[in-house]
Amino acid sequence: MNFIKEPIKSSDQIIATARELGAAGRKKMVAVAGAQDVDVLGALASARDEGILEATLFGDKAVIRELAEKNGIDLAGFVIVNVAGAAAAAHEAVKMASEGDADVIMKGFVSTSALLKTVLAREFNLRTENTLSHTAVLGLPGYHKLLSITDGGMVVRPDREQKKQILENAAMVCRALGINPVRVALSGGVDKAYESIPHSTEVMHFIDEFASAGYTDVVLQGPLTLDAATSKEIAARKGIDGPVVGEADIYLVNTIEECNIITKSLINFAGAIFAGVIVGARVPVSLVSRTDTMTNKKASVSIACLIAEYYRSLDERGTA
Amino acid sequence: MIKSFAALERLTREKIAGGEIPNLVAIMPSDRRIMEAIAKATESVICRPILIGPEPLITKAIAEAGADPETLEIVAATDATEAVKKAVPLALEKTPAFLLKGNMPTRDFVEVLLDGENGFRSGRAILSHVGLVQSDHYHKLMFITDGAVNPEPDATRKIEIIRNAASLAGKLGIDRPKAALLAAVEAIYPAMPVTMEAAAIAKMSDRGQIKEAVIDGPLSFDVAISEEVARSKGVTGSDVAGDTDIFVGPTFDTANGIYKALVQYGGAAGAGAIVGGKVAAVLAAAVDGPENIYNSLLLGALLSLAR
Repeated sequence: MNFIKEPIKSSDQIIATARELGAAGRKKMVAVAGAQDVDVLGALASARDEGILEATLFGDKAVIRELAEKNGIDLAGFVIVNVAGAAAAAHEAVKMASEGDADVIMKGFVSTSALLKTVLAREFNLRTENTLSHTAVLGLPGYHKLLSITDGGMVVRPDREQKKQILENAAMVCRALGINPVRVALSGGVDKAYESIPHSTEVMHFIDEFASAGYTDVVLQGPLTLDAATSKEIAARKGIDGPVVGEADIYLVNTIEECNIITKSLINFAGAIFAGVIVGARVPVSLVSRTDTMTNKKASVSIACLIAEYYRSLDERGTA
Repeated sequence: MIKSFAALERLTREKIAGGEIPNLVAIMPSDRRIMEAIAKATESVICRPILIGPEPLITKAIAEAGADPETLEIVAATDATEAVKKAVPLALEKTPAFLLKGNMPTRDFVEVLLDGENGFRSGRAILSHVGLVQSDHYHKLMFITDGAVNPEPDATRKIEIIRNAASLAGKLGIDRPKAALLAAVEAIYPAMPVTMEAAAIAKMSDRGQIKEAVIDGPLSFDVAISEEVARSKGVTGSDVAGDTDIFVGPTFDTANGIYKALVQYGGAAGAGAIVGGKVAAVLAAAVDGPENIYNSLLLGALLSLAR
C-alpha cells in the first residue's frame, strides 16, 4: 500500500507527508556521495531534526566535521564513512543503495555526471529501461495543485522515445505524491497543431503513440501553452477545453532550455517553491543547489523519500 | 529611457499632443476585457478605434464594457480570418494606424500576416513577436522575444529577431539595448547546440558585427536577471548579465512560457506586439487583463507615430 491517501497539493504538504512517513516508522536512509558540502549537510540536518530521514555520509570525514563545526551544523545520528576521493564516495553511496541498505542517493561534493554514471553502472543493478531525467515539482502560488515540469536537467533535446521515458519518470513522481489520474500537458507556444510549427505536430504524433502504450492513469493533451494548461478561465477565452486544461500535473516540455528557463521564471518572478529529483533508476537521486532556499532543499529530500516509499510499496505488492 | 508602462503612457500622450491621433484597427474586439481597454484608450484620446468582427459580438462587448457606441466605428466581418483580411489594408491606408489582435489565436493571426499576399510585410524584413513586461522583481522593462512568430529560429533569424526588438526598444528611448541569448546554462558545451549558437552570436556582437544591441550568451535566466547570481556562478566581464533588456528565447515555446509565467503567476504588467511589418500589430493575449491590453494599445499608438 502506498503511504499516501490523498493527493499532495503543495510544497508544505510534501515536507509534512515525509515527516509523517518518518513518524510512522518508515524513515528513509539517504546515502550521500561526497558529504563535504555545506548545503547538503544543512539540508540533511534540518530534515533529520524534523524526523524525515537518516543519512550515511560518504566522504572526507575530517572536512565533513570541519564544515559542520564552522557552520554550526549538528551531525548527531549520521553515520560518517571516511572515503578518499569523489569517485570512491559515489561508488560507496551507490553500492549501499544497490544492496538495499539505502533508499535515496544524494549528490554531494561529486560531479552530477560522475555520480549518475556510477548509478547506471551495470554492476549495481539500479538502472531501468528508462533514461534518467530530472523532474522539478513546483509549488506555484496561484495554482491549486503541484506542477511538475520536466526535463530541465538531463536530456538536452529528447527524441520521441526519450520523451516518453521522461514522461513515465515524471508520472512515477506524481503517483508517489498520490496523484491519480496524472494529467499531462505537452508544452507549446500554441494550443493546437500548425503545419508551420514542427513542435506542435510532433506533439500530436507523440500523443497518438503514447495512447497505444496503455497507461490507464495518465491523461495527455497538447500542445498547450502554460496558461491554458493551468487555467480553465484563460483557456475558455481561447475556446479551449479538455481533460488537462487548467488541471495539468505535469508540463512536459520540448527541450532542456525551455524547462530550465520557464522554471526559473516561475521561481524568480512568481515565488514558486522548487523540489527537484532525478528519476529513472531504481532509487531516486536527490540533489540540492547552493541557490536553493532551505525550504526548497527540504522539499527536495522529502520528495525523494516519498518516491523511495512508493518504490517500496510497489516491491511489496510485487512480492505479496 | 522608458522603464515602466506609466512612462510609456506619458511618452505616448506627448507624441499624440504634438501630432495626430492614431487609428486603431481592432480585430475581433469581442469581449469585455478588450472593449474596456479600447474604451479607456479612446476616452484618453490615445487612439480612434475601428472595430472589425461579427457585429452582434462586438455590440454585446460594447454593452458589457459600458462603452459609448457613438465613439466606436464598426466594420462587419463574418469571422476572425475575414476580419484580419479587412483590417490589414485599412491600417495601411489610414496612417498613422496600428492593428490590435483581439479574440483569435495569435498564431492564426500571425499566419495571415506572414502570408505575403496581404501587404503587411515590409520587403524581406522578418516579422517577430516581442512581449513587454514590467515586474516588481526587475529594475526595468523586459523585452521577451520571440513568443509567437518564429518557432525555431536559426542564428540568422535570431539576429534579426534581436534587431527587431532593439528597434522597438529604441522607440522607447533605450539605445543599444542589452540582449541575452537564453540557455539552460552559461557555460558553452558542444553537446548543447543552443549554447554553441548563442556563443557564436555573442562573438559576432563582440566583434562589432551586430551594431543594434550589445549581445551576450549563453546566459541562464537567473544570470540574465541578477548580477549577484552571475557573480556566484563565476560569470564575469559580461555587459549584459544582471542588466538585460532583451531576453531571447531559444525557441518560441520558451519565450511564450516566460511571458505567461511572469504575467499569469508573477503578477507582472505586460504588453505584446508583432514587429517588423509595415504597421505595428499589438496583441491582446488570453492571459492579459484589460490593463495589459491598454498597455498594448499605448505601445501600438506610440509605434504608429514613431515610424
